[in-house]
Amino acid sequence: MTSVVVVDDHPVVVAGVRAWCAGAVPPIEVVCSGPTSAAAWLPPGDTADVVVLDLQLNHGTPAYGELRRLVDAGRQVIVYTMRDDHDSALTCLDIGAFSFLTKAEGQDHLVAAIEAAARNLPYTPPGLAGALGTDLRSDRPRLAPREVEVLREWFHCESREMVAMALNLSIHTVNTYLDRVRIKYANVGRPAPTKAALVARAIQDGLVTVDEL
Amino acid sequence: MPPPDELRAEAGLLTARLTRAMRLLTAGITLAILGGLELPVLVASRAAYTHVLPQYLAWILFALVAVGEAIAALRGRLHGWWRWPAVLLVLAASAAATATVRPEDLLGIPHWSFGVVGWALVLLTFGEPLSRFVLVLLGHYLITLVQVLPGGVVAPTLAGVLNQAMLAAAFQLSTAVFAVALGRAATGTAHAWWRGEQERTRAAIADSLHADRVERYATLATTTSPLLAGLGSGALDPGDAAVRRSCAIEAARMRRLLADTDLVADPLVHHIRACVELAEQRGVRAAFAERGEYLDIPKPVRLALTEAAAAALATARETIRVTLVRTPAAVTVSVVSDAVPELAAALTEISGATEAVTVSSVVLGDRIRVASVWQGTAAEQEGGRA
Repeated sequence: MTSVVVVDDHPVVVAGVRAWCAGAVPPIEVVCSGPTSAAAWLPPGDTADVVVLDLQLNHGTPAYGELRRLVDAGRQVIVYTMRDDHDSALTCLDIGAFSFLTKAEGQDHLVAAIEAAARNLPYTPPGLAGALGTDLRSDRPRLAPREVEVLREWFHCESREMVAMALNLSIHTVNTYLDRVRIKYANVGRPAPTKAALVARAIQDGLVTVDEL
Repeated sequence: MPPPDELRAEAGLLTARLTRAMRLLTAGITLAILGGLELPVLVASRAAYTHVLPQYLAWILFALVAVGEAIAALRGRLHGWWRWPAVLLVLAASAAATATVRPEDLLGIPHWSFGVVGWALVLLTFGEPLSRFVLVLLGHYLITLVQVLPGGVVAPTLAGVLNQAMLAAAFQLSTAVFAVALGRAATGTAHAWWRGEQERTRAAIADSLHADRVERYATLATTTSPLLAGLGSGALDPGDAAVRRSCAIEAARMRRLLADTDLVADPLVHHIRACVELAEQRGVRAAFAERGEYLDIPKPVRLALTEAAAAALATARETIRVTLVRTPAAVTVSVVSDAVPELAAALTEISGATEAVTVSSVVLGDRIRVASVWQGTAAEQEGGRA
């Protein structure tokens, strides 16, 4: 069974995540939770498969440092935050977070993201897709025009069916585009064990070829 | 009352401009007199001097003062510390020139330096109180008197001397008086300028407020007024769902227009948030997210872009997602609403509001997705490159 540690200083958030995990099929076990990243470093949280990390601990500056230390230790981190902006999403991805979810997206995407993280499969929720689809930084990976379209439509619609319909693609193709973009991002920037695992898994599954990266 | 700093700065600027012209003019007059009138006299009357060299040196010094002043005026500089030493030097050169004129020619035609000294002194005392110039000029006359009296005034009569001195001094004095008067005029002009500027600013603000009101009224007149008139006359039934929907849309439109007058950093997001708030007040779960960087979007385009979103937010039943994506190539405002027939009906009324914005909709089951896209920025950029 997939195990999760939740780092969030809001009890309501922790309770919500526990409820969603308990209701998942198959259920996900929340082994531990706490208001600081200590919960992810000490037993029983230190062996959890996935870390769900709030970026806004102590209402101070974003916890990018905590995120970096967890990523460097090879943990699968899903950033789960109130911050719904472009820069936070891209920064977390650069540091090596597995995925970035705004709290508004939690209900629909957190469980799926945890399951994907436990299996080293890419997962791009709409908010993150919006940030990737409008990324104009010079060091961004090169994306195909169609990939950018899919990212932006996914951000707008929050429904793969609707994206498929709007762009005249199959749902499978939409998923493939989203995953390929995520792999391209994992392949650039700061190296992290989790990123390497993500890319390795994608090559194994035939999602991308080595030549494409 | 005008803010004294601004006023003083403006008066200072005006004074500086006028003084500059005045100094240049005076320097020109001095050079013209030196070159056109006095140099021929000096050359022709070489026999009238005991030594010619002091005469030439005095002439060169006066010319240098005039040229130096003209350059300082052109550069916009006032006199430095050297002003008073220069005054003493001029007086000394004048005394030396007077001392080398043969006694019988003193105060006569060959004694050219006597009248010209005053012009150099006018130049050197520019910007000083008038009394200082008068004192320096009187000092010059006193020195000359002391030099001339022992030998006895031979050539001209005393009245002639006085006449010549008064004539030259009158020109020089009026120049100095004029310079002082210019400073005062500049201050008065600055006051008038400031009052005029205040008046113009007030008028511009009033004009723009009025234009805004007219524009808002014109926007509402075509849609809101008929609705209100219909409700007032009883032609429209408030119990009718379609009428209620129209009312909600008009309310959103008005809220958006009011939001447009607010001074905010990002008017487009402000517009959308205003409509999101209205939907939330109706109990709708409205999610709004935006991606991309801020772009400057013209107001008509802004209104056209948010038209469909405002209608969607006014008609949504329980949930709605509003998203904004801005890239240099295009700006997209998208909504996914659960009120399919309501929004579809509203779209027929608002589509084709602006040519620059294209509105498209897709229905999937119980959801409707409407996207408003503006591609103006890309066209402008390409135009700019070409």
